[in-house]
Amino acid sequence: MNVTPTSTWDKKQLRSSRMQPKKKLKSNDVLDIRWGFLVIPAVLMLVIVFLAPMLGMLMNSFYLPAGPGQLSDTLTLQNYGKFLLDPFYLQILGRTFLLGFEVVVCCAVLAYPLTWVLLKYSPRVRGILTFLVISPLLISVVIRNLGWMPLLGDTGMVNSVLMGLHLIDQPLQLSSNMVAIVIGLTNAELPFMILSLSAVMRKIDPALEEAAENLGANAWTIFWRIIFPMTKTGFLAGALLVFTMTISSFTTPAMLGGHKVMVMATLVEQQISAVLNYGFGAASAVILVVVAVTFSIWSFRAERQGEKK
Amino acid sequence: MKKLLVNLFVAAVFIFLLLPIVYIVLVSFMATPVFAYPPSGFTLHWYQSLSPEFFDSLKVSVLVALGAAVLSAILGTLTALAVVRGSFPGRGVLMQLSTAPVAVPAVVIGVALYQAGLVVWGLTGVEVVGSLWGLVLAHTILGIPFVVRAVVASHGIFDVSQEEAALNLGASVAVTFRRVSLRGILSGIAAGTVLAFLVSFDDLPVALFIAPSDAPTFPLKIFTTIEFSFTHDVMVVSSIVIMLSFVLMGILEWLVGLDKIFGSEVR
Repeated sequence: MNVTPTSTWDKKQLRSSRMQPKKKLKSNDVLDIRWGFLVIPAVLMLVIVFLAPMLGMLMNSFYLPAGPGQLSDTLTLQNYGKFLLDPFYLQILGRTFLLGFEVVVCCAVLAYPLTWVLLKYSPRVRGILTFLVISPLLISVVIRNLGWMPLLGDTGMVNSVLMGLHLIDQPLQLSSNMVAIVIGLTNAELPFMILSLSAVMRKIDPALEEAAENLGANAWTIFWRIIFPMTKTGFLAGALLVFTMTISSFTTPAMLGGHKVMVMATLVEQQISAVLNYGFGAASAVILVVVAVTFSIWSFRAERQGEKK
Repeated sequence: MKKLLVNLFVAAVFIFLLLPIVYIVLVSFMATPVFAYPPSGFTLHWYQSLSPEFFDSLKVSVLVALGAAVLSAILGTLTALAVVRGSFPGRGVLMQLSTAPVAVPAVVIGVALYQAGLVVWGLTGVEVVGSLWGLVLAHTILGIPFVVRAVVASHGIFDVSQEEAALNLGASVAVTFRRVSLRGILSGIAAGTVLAFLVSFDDLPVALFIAPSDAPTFPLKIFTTIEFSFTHDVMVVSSIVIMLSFVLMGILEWLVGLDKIFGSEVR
């Protein structure tokens, strides 16, 4: 990926080589060293506005509260103990993982067949459909959730249509619960899954599928024996990306969960702005960060692995 | 038969993807604040009676997002170039530091900045929490990773020998940088800046902690309004944003290509 001779080994080679014209070496050096200085404002910004506050929060997580919005002076691990020993909070952590898992499954079930079909349309149709897949990403998540709220209510359009078609007798419970959050997040993250899958699916030779079909394989066999093995890297990258975004998300659980379903992100917000327990809020936030960053690193590695192949 | 089923499936997924967006636009033109069948007639009444505070929140959001996008673009581009071109120690750490905020849940960044802001206020009296410039700085942190990644990716496909050609033909380093190097990574800078703008415009959790209460951003205004009542105003202002977004999308598709913005750089 990096084509400039940047490593020190390369530089030494360049310097010792008599073949290289002197002028080029000098100008490259100028570009090389100046960048080191120009990066100072960005580093200052990241350290002051990101790293220092994060470390401050980590510090806060080791102090017990001394009244609302106040911290005591003694260092303690009790905030973490409170989280890890109380089934109520462990349940919230478990629910967050479950939510991530459910959204990944929903996205995969919809994205796999859709992406496969999309690649078979003519380039013109595919272009339009790709535009439609990406376009929701440019619309604020708050707006998309706002649209789901009346749609999913007991008398909302989804229930009315399903009852009108006589598929159900009674309205389904679709609002202010986990189902609503899963629907909202699947809607928000499906495009990412489709993009991840289409990056790897594009490389599969369509002749493979035809050959398998001619030899009598059904769609199920073709999927499990050909498509899935060949798209595993892209699927893993997409699944981890969707999982990480889901467990980190605040807006959709806050809007569609209706104060009833709490996940890690909404717990952190509630502890800080409603309960004013800064120590415990910080500890919950640290736990969420550790989980999210772990999955992010895994996701990043999976993506890189995919690029190598 | 098989073909029909396949097309039905594709249609169903697209309906699912676009349903909330289309629903808001449709309802905003209807007489009743929820969808009624048969539709009760087309009206522009709600657009005319829209409360001006929603426009104010839109203005705040656009200004904050523009500020954050420009700052992210400058800082992110410099960082990316230093990482791919520089030869100083710690470039790996720099890359990790500048892309780390994307891995941290936004609500946590909001909490961390809120607590740090209170400490700064206690020590110096400077109000970071509840200020617009504080929110711009916070959103810049969210935007930098997107610019860094997009620029690093676009630099990967940029042919550096063009620079050597320009230098050998007698162009100065400054001219070469401006006319060759910068042009080579322009698509990356553009994609990263668009993403940084969107991240800021989209953000609720950080604004919840940092935004001033008298000048809420658009997502914050919607979020706090629906806590009390689900009015037609939120549908109408959202519908306006949706229609403007689609205009913007058309322009972006025409200028850069949407798949380039999201394809090369999913996160």
